[in-house]
Amino acid sequence: MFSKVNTAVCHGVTGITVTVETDIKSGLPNMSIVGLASTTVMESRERIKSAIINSGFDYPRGRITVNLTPSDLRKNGSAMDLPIAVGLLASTLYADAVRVREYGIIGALSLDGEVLGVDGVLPMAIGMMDSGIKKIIVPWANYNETALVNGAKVIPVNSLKECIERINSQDASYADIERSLADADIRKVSNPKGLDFADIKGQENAKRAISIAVAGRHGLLMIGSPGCGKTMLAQRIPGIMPQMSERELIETAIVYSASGRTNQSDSILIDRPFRSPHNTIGRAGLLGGGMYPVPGEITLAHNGVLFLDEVCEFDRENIESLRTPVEEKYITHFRGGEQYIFPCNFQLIMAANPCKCGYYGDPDRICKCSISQLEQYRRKLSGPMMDRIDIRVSMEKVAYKEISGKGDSCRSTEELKNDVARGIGFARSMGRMVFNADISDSDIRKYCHMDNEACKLMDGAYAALSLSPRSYNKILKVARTIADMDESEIIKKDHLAEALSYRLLNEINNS
Amino acid sequence: MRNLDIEKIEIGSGRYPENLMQIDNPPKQLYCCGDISLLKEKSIAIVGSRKFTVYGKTVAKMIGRRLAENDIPVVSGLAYGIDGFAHEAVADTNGRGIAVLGSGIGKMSPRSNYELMLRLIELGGLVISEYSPDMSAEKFTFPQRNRIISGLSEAVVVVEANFNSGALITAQFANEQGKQIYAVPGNINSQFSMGSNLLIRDGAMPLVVIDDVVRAIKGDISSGSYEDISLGDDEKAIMNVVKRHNGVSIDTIATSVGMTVGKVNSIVTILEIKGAVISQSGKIHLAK
Repeated sequence: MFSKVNTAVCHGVTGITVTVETDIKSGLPNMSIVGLASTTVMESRERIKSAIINSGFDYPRGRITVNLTPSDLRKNGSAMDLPIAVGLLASTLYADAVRVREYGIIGALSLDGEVLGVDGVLPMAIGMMDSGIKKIIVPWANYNETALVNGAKVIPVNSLKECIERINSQDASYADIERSLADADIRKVSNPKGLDFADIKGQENAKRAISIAVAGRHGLLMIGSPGCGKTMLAQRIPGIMPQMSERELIETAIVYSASGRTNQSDSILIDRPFRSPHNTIGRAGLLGGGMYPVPGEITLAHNGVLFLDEVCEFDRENIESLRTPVEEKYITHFRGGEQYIFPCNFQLIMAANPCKCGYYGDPDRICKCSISQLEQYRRKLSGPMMDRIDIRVSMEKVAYKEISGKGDSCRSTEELKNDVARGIGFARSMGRMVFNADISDSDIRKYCHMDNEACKLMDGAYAALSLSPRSYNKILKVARTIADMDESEIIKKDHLAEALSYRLLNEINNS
Repeated sequence: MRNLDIEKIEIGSGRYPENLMQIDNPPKQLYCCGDISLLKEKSIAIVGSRKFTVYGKTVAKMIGRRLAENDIPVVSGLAYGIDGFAHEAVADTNGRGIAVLGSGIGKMSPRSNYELMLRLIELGGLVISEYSPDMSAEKFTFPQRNRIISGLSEAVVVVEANFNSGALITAQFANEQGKQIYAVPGNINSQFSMGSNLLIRDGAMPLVVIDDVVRAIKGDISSGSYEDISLGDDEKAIMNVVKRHNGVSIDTIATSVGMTVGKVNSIVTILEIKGAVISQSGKIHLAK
């Protein structure tokens, strides 16, 4: 007999609906799977056989052919165990072969018939929903992440047997559970670690720079000796970014689902991601890659923060390779004649020591670097990647007095978040839909109007601070963000002067 | 690298500078590029270590500029750091400088100062070396050339020197050759000024007024080009904090004057454009 079951594969971060066709003919017992199946899929034959027998069904005798369509799409992963098993059982009439077509089925099988969780359930479910499938069967282990699927009924199952019962059942008491974003438990978990900017005392200058960077999505570079709080500050940045929109939530959750990270922490679905790859990371880890490409750190940071600590210790090539994705906000991989597009729209934050040993300019410690080491280090801090950095802030260690004291003006996450929201809100109300860092060069004149005093200041600054045309544009964009936070339509002298103070200094660029 | 016209002066030739004849172990020959007549003028050497602070950089530039304004040739080693800044200020003031290299002229190092070397030659300065043009620098050549730096000049100014800086070797040569040594005093807890402060303890003249050096060569000196900078009230308030604690962070200024860091940042930038302060590594220093 012939049967058809719907399932999906996760192609990068996109779910593509796949139909499993099963046909059983008389002949020597044999099972063949065709349709560009990978080794994992081929191996499913053994799991399926055991799972079917151990669930109390008869394994069909005869020549079994399973075809996976579209047959020119490479298929990988164990998520096709369950749909193939259901297809076999539908062909042998254990399952209702007509009703089974209404369902999209995802799941791996263990030998005893238990349904195991798989990676990429969310994109697969969304892919099936988009192709018109209204009922989706998923493993219990992946039920949480499907809370973001709006418009389809998601049915969690524990075992192959339960799955067949659900398909065959006419019983209304099996009312399909409909989940929505609003009632999911995960919605309630936010900022689980309780990180707050108020924990950091005496770095008000850096906090101010951070709030400007976030409000305009400007790349930020923090320079300071070890222990001055760069990492602590960076970890708190997701907390001052605006809440993720539903669309952003889904995009981020899809990435985490596709890379199999959803189970590690449910709260990731609601908080903006914070990724801080170690400096020994390879290119594939950073950008994504592999035979069946999986998202790298830049994609995991999508809609969140990518923090490159000790940026000078990274391989220069890796840092340079970030340029295109940072500009385009997505990265394209090609594998086996197929194209994989991963989103990577993140807030870029970098931190660096002032020199290799970390103590150059430190009042208490002696810098042990040689002159050539200093020069080499500074060269790393220049170069094309620094073009993506709009704001630079130098930090120094805070005196004990300030850590212990009742610092009268220690700004908290709440206050900074309001500043950021004011800036973004004002920009949107003026009709600017992109972040200020992404304003194109041709639009700069349109959006960045300066008053007379500011123009005069810029004239003077251009020569006095030896700016380049590129840094001129960057400064204008940062000034635009500062003016937004001040809810001012025109860039005033104060805004411009503050923006100038965050420029990349010459000490980094040439000396 | 561009082709330079290099002349060779042998010891004993009429063009060989007399004051080099006076020192121990005078160089057997000098390879020169530029205006050789500078060797006959009275000049001052400015030396210091390669690692520097904003203070050292500012002072080196001030002295370089002052000497150039009074048309006194400045001798230095064209090394990274203080040496380079002194000659940079000389070139910026269209003055004349004598660079004494620790390698052949064709193999000068560090390369980052090559442009500066060409500028000096163009402005009527001079580059000399006792090594043949195609000889590379070795570890021993740098201390060796320091005897020429001190030998050529009437006085040596040590701007900033660590306790193991090569500038101290120059000072030692200067002492043996009976030259006047000036040392720029620094904070006694600054590692960057340790060497120059020790020189003062050992009898070097502390350089407190820059024009003292100029007077050592010339009796009458041209008046300085200090113009007053007009400042607003907020700017004055911040300048007062910077004057009190040179090298202060934005955060500290903000707490002392009671403004937001954003406001302080913007005023400091304006002060920087006006030339009143310099910011480096997040700290604000006086520019003069």
